[in-house]
Amino acid sequence: MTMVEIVNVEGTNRRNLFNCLKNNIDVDFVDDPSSVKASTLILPGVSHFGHYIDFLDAHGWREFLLNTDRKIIGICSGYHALCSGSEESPRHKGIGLLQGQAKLIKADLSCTNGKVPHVGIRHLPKCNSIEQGKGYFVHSYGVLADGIENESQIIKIAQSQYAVSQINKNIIGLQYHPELSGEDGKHLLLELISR
Amino acid sequence: MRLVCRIEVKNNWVVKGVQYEGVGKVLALDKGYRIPSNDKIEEVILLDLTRSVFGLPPNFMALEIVAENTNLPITFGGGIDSVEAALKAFELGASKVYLNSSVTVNETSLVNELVKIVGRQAITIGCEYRIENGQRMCYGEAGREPFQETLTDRAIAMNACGAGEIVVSHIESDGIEKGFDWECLDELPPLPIPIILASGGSQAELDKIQGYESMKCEALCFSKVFNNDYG
Repeated sequence: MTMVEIVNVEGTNRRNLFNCLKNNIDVDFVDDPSSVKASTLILPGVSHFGHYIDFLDAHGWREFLLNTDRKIIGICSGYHALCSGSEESPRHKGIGLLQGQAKLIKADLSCTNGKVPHVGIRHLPKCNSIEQGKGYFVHSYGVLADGIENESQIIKIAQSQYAVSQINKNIIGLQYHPELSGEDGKHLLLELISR
Repeated sequence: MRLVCRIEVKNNWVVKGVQYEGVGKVLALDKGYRIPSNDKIEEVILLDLTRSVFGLPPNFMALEIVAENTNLPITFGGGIDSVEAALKAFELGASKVYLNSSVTVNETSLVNELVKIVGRQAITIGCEYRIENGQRMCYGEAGREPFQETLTDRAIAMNACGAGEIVVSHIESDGIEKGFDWECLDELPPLPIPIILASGGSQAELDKIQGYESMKCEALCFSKVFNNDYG
């Protein structure tokens, strides 16, 4: 059985994910839910929220995601897609499996890490399921930590606290890109897949 | 301070020129290629400067080879002049696209279109300039085509049209390792998007990169000094 399938969303960096994992596990791409074979699905990052949701709805992914017990890992805009929505495209509704709505990060030029997009490697704190480490970020929207009850890692970006990961049973959202975070990130991604 | 490695390519070679001229071969870009071995590098900018000059399509072969063997983000550029070319770059392993010749202050339609598909964080704009009569004037086509735009005007316009970051490159400093044109940062107004300072970075500057945290940029991009770090 293929261990991991990457949902083939146009405009995402799905190839980076494939390259990151290909030497360690059985990984493939998948276009629509009827073709899913893997126990873990990854929603890749880098895409406009509205474009992303349009793709998921056009291919029947919403209903599948709402009803599956497979492990789902959403990265960056894939994480936002799993939340309730995003200010990037307010008319599009998120899948709603994770808490919160992605909001535009307000640039604050008076502080470190205050520019938007928020880009670069940041230290990540430990939470129950994820060890501390480093993650590469590249995003303009984020999920504010206030009101998030799911297990999460929280860091400060431009003077506000953001939930840069969320775990709700089989659903995992990561704001950072483990596939672009060197060996640390690759290790984390493989660990999340294998647990 | 984010450390960025700029890898210049021409066809299937890693190359390096001086002031955007006379590229010399550094090493072959084949299946065994690995990026320079410096564990401080956070990102790669992969450019084929010859593409826009000769109207050639982007060097996707180079992108595939570099992406195959790195799990760092790649900003890919050189000849990207359409949404289709940009999307193909993402398909092959780019995390951002670098646009220069195809975008001017008065022609930003490519950025406007791409923002709607990939989001602004995936769009990097080049501000490649020469200093002429005391003014920093921007160029396209690898320093050949004057845009008749000042660095400041271009930076402001690119932020306004949806770019996620700008790479500020002094063409006359390129490849000579005499140090960055730090003064250009004083010319720029405060921008909410990250600024990457490139061209001319020396070994001494690389050695003390964390000492530049108070400078008015978020990343430093080195190229030639990394040629010593190929294994």
